[in-house]
Amino acid sequence: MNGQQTGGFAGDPADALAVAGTGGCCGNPPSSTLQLPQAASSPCCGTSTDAAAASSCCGNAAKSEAVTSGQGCCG
Amino acid sequence: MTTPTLPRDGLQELLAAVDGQRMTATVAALAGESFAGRRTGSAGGAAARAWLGRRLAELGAEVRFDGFTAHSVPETYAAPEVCWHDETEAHGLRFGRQVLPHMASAEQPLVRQGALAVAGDGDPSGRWLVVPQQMSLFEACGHGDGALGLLIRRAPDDDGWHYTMLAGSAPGPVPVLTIDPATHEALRRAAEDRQGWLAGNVPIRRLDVPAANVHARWRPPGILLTAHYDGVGDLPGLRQPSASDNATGVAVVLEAARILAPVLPGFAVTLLDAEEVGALGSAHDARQLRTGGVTPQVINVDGVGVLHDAVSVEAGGPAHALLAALDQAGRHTGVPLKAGPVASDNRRYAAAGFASIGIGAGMAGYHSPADAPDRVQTGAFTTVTQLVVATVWLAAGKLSSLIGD
Repeated sequence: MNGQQTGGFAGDPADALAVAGTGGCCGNPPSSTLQLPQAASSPCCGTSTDAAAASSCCGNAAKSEAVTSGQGCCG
Repeated sequence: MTTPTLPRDGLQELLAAVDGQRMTATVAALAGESFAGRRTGSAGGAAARAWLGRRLAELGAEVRFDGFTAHSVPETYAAPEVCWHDETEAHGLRFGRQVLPHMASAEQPLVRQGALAVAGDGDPSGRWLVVPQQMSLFEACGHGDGALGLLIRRAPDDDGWHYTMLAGSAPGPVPVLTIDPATHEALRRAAEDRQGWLAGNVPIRRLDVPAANVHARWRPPGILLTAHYDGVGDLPGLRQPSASDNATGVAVVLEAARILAPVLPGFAVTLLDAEEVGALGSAHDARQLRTGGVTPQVINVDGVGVLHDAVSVEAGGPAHALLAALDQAGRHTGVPLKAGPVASDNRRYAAAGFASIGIGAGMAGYHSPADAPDRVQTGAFTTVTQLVVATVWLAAGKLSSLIGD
C-alpha cells in the first residue's frame, strides 16, 4: 500500500459526508439541544423516532448486515 | 471538493516516529485479563480508565475524568444453564457457542422446564416458544403471554461465537435466548411434532452504572482525537478481550498523541466510555463541549485491527476542510480511503454540529471471544496512525488558510 498514486480518496472526499445512516441510529440531526439518550428507551443509539426515521441499524436484518460487513452497529 | 497541495515540512519525521511495537503492547494491555473486556461500569472498565489516565499523564497532558451515569446497561451475570430433551436424549447447550441471553430479555435467574411450542401456534402458557425465523421479536413477544421464554435463531460469526450486543432493544416482558441455527431447527421440528422439552434460565439484568470519559489536554483543542476505550466485557467463563474494538483505536490515539502533542499548537484527546451501550460517552462530551462554547474538529478512530482494501471514512458536520486534510494525508502516506459507514462516536459529535470524521478499517472478530490480540494486524493500526498523524499535522498547520472555509 505504498506509493502516492494509491492513497487518498478515489472519488470526491465529500462523499464521506453523505454516507447512508449518518443522520440516524447512532446520531441525531444537528440540533440546538443535545440530550443524553437513555439506553433503556432507545432501540439503538438514538431515540425511537430517530430509529424509525433512519430505518437502519435497528432492524434485525440491517443489524445483521452491519455486523457481517464488519462495520458494526452502534459499536 | 478539490484538494490543495500542502507543505510537508517536518511531517516525514513524525511519520517515522510511529512505533508499531508500542501500539501492539498497548492493545495487549487493554485486552488483558486485568481489564476483563472493559465493559462500561465494570471494575475492569474502571481499571482501564485509570491506566489510560496514567499513560496520558506520562505524555505531559493535563488529565481529568468526567463522570456520568449509563442507564440500564445489560449484564449477563452467570452462564445460562440450558438443555433440551428430544424424548430420546438430553442435549446441553454450550454458552457462547449455542446459546446466549438476548439483550432484550427479561431476567429469569431460575431454571424453568417446559414443553416446546412454536410461537403463535397454540397456548403458550408454561412453554418455551420456538420463534420462526421470519417472525420478529416484537411479534413473538405478542404471542408470549405466560410463556417460559422465547427461543430466537441467530447465526454465529465465522468463528462459531454468538456476538454480544449491549446497545439496542429495551428489555421486554419475556425471557429470551438466542440459539444457533442447527439447534434452533431441531427445536422447531420437535415443537411442531409436539415433542420434547427445554429447561433453562436467562441470567441477565439491567444496571445503572458509573461511566467516565478521560480527557487529556495539552493546549486548548483545535483538533480533538477520540476513541472509545470500553468494550462489551467478559462473560462469565468467557473472555471477550475487545482488541480490535477498540483497543486498536485507543492505541492509535495514544501513539498519535505521543508524536503530535509536543509540536501542535492546539491539541486534545478524549478517550470515551459507554460507546458499546449507545455512544453515551460521546453524547455526553459533545453536550459538554457545546455548553462550554468549545468547537474542536473531531477525529474518531474505531475498529482498526484489520485493514482490507481501504480505510473507511464517515464525516459529518462542517468537515470539508478536515476531509481535505485527510485526503491529502492519504495521498502522502499511500493509504487508500473510501467513504463508508463508521457507526461510532463520530456521529454524536457530528450531530452536535462539530466537524467530525470517523475512521475505521476492520475487525477480525466482532463482540465475541474472537476479538483477541492475536487477531489484530500491527500493520493495520500502524498505517492508520500514520494517516491520523499526517491528517492532524496538515489540518492544524496550513490547511484552513488554503481552503478558505
